[in-house]
Amino acid sequence: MAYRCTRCKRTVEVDYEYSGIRCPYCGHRILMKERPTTVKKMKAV
Amino acid sequence: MKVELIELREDRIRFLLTGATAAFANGIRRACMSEVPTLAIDEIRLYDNTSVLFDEQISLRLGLIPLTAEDLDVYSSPEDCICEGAGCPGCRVDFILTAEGPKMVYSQDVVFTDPGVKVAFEGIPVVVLGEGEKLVVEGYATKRTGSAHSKWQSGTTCGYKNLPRIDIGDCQKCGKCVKVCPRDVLALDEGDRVRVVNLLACSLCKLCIDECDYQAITVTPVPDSFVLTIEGDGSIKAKDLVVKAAEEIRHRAEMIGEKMADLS
Amino acid sequence: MIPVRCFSCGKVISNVWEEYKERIVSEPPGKVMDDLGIERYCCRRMLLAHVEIVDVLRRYQ
Repeated sequence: MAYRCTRCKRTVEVDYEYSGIRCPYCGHRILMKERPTTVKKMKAV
Repeated sequence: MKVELIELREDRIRFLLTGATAAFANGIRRACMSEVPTLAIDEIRLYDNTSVLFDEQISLRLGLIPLTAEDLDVYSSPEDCICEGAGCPGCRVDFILTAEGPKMVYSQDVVFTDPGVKVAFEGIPVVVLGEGEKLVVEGYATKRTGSAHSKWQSGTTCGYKNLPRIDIGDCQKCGKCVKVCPRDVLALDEGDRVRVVNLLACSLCKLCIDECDYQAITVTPVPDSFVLTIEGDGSIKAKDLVVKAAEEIRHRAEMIGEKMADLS
Repeated sequence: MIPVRCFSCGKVISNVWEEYKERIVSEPPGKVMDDLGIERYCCRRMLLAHVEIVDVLRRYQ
């Protein structure tokens, strides 16, 4: 599952063993999970 | 039983019901709120939503939009449908909503497959989309009653009160009651006598009784007369709403009759 | 975003929000609401007390 860095907005792959939760491009530590491509079904309430 | 029309607007009706019991007036009120079916968006499928609102917020907002149908009778509620709740064109109206920012998505952007089904109000903001934000939703609306969820409630604000009866006895023309009345029910006429000018506005608060030093005024409810105010959500005309509510009550009464006949 | 309906009574109020927002710049809000047919105080507080914050939130997307 891909993540997106909240600072540089780039898609990043997280390498847990090497760097932990950290953007490899800018070093920012806040990442957001991308929306899955599946269709989301819900009740309209 | 007598019905007298007081006010009629597209979305609201006020009428005087005389010679009926409180139970009957309340029956009409309750039937308007929870037994008259209407269409509302039931379930949605989200393909993409990159807007600032959460998926759930969008689904809630879509569900609350009132829908009108040219002929509501062509649809059956999912429970009574021949498909037995599985979902078919007889009990569902499909819709799609696609938008790409920057723009404001309005209720009229919801496109139904049945051209007879429309949103009751245009210009309800659903979500604002910024540059590059996207919203792709499809789903369906079903016909149900207000007892399932308030979004299917076709009568939103329905209420009744007893018709007030205001008697003015030995009036000393001080005019205190005229001043204290919050709804301007009373007024002084040419001879400075207190007169009832706007009886229907009276809410039976009885402030005038307390204010009168001579106990000249009495306010009593007329037990068999009711002022009903029925306001719809826009999906159906208020006039039709009351008629359908009354039909529903009759239908239920007939059902009781049939059941009782089976027993004996 | 303005709620679609009034929380208390269920009347649709969001369809007049944009007109209301434009008009309160030059007119008293109470008069504008009378004009727009927002009568009850439950519906009036919906418009009166609403603060639009979606555009503020967008910066943190």
